[in-house]
Amino acid sequence: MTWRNWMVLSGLILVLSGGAARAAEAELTLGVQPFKPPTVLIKAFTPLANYLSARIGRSVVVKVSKDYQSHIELAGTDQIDIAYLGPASYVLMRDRYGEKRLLARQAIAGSPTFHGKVFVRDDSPIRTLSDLRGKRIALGDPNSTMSNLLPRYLLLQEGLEQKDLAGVGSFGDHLNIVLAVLAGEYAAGAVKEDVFFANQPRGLRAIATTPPISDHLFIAGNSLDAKTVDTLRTAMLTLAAQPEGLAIMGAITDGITAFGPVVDHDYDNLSMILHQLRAHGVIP
Amino acid sequence: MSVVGVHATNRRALVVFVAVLILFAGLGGVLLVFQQRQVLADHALRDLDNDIFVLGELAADALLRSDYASVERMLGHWASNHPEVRLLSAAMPNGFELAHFERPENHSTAFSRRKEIVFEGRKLATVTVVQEEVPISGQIALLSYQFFAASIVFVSLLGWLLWLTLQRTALRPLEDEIKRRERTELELRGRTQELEAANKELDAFCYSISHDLRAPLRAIDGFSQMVLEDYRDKLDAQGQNYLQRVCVATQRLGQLIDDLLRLSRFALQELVPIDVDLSALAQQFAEQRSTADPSRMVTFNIAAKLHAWGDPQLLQVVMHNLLDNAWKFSSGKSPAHIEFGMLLRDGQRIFFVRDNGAGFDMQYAAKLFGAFQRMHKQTEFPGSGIGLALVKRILNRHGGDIRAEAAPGQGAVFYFTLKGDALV
Repeated sequence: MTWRNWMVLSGLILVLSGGAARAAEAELTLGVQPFKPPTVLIKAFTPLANYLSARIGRSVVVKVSKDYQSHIELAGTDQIDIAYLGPASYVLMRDRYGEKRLLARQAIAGSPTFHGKVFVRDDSPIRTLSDLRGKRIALGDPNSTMSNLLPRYLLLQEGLEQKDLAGVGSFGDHLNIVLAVLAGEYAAGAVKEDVFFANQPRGLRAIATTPPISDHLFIAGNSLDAKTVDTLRTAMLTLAAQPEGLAIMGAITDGITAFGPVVDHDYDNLSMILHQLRAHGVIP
Repeated sequence: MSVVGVHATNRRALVVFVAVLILFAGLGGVLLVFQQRQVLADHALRDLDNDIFVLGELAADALLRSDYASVERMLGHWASNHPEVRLLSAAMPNGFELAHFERPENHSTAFSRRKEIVFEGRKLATVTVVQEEVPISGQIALLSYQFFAASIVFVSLLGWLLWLTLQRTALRPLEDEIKRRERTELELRGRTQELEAANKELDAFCYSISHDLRAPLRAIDGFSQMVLEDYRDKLDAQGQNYLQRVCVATQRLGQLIDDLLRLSRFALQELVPIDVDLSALAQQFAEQRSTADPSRMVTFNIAAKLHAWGDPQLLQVVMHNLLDNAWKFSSGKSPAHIEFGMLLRDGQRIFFVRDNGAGFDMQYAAKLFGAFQRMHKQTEFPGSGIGLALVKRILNRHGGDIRAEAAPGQGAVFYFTLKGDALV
């Protein structure tokens, strides 16, 4: 073997080993807050992870956080590279850990904002929020926008605080809130509107609707380089135009029609709501 | 009962036995299938109870921590993974149906189970499951096929064993009897062949002797004639009378030898059987005799179209001898009646020749068909006594026989058969 051949071979080995090392460190995490059971969420987000992986040439794995609080912490401290956050979780994370680079915001049926519903059973005598005084109400995770924070805001508007209620249940899963009310364990509950509409035929009636809130969004961790962030953002914003786009997005939540552009100001009204809640001591 | 009849009866008995056996096996099978069906149904119910118990335990844990969604998911998964489940419902105490699963009804039988999930005296939910008997039906069908196949094998085996037993008990003695008779028939056939061979040898010997006797007899007759003609003047009247008697005796002996030769020749002659018109032979005889001797008043009554299967030359001898006897022994009657006809008795054809002649005494009937046996004096009715012997031998060779009925002065009837028809 000539000297020249030795040089080529050595170069190849260096390139290959460098590539392998980069591939090993290149695995990105797509973190998801636990608004559904982990098995359901991993199945729901894996198509998106595969799509992103193909677009950036790096492996993307789905991880479901233990609860909303830890999800906010993981996203805020860049322990996950791409975070899927609810609006309130995003605002809380931003307030606590500072701004992040935003990737995209989901739009259901073309709308980038969504609502929450406070509901009761069809046969319930409760007609208004004020009727909930002295009743038990099922809410979601303390950091959940539509199943906790916004309903509390609506109750606060009606002059109802936690002490005015007979009890507040805390559920991680929106569906469980619905079923707990239907089973008669709680007089009322609050969930985001798509969950409400999906279960309304089982015997639900809405008594209040939250203001429109900018929908869930994806953010990029600070550890990602700008080029990767741009590539991810482009991939998400063009997903709706892909043949498999609707299927990938629909797997996450029924009815998502696009991932649209997002800016921090889109969550200003929510920031104001959270500020009021904080001012009244509803949230820390 | 014949052997064939016994076989048929045994077969019928066997078929009836096997049919009864199949009937019992079928009834037993139905009972067994019903019993097994009950066992399988109980088993399926136990399985379902166990499943509902486990589901209830798991659901209780989930319901106690208000994890309704898990209960809904778990019950839904369980029902969708059990194809026999037609309906599953989990109702909360307030009537809300937490989980509901339903499959289209397929009209098969179903059973249901209801279980209340209770913890510390508190009713958490009520689970109702309606389950089809589809798996049981499948197993029952499989069991039925297996039982049917086993029954077929069992009945076949039993039938075969029964057949063997029947053969040993009922058929074996009959088969032994058949074999014994076959042996006897074989022996008889062997002896018949030996006898036929001996007869042929005897006939051949007889022919040879007769033939050899003719030469010296011709010499005696010839020289006696020569003495009578050439030395008549040297012999007195008594001598001439003696020589004439020698001549008559030699001629008589010659006739006897001729008859003997005929007898043995017909006995040795090969049979060439064809269809022979006996009526035509009788008619031919009647015409010849009536023409030859118009002075006699004889009426012939000959049945038309009587045919027989035999050697034409030999059957002509038979007809000629019998009709010739009738013609001869009715010579004293005027008018004489000679009849040739046929009787049917038990499906057998019996030909007969009847005359209204001299007849004979039936006590001598046994000698009638012996060679050179005569019922009448030579002077009364001429003949050698060989004719009926010849007829009997020819008929015997054709597988037939002959017998006579007669009374002195009242005529005689000769009945004969051919082709093995027994003479009645």
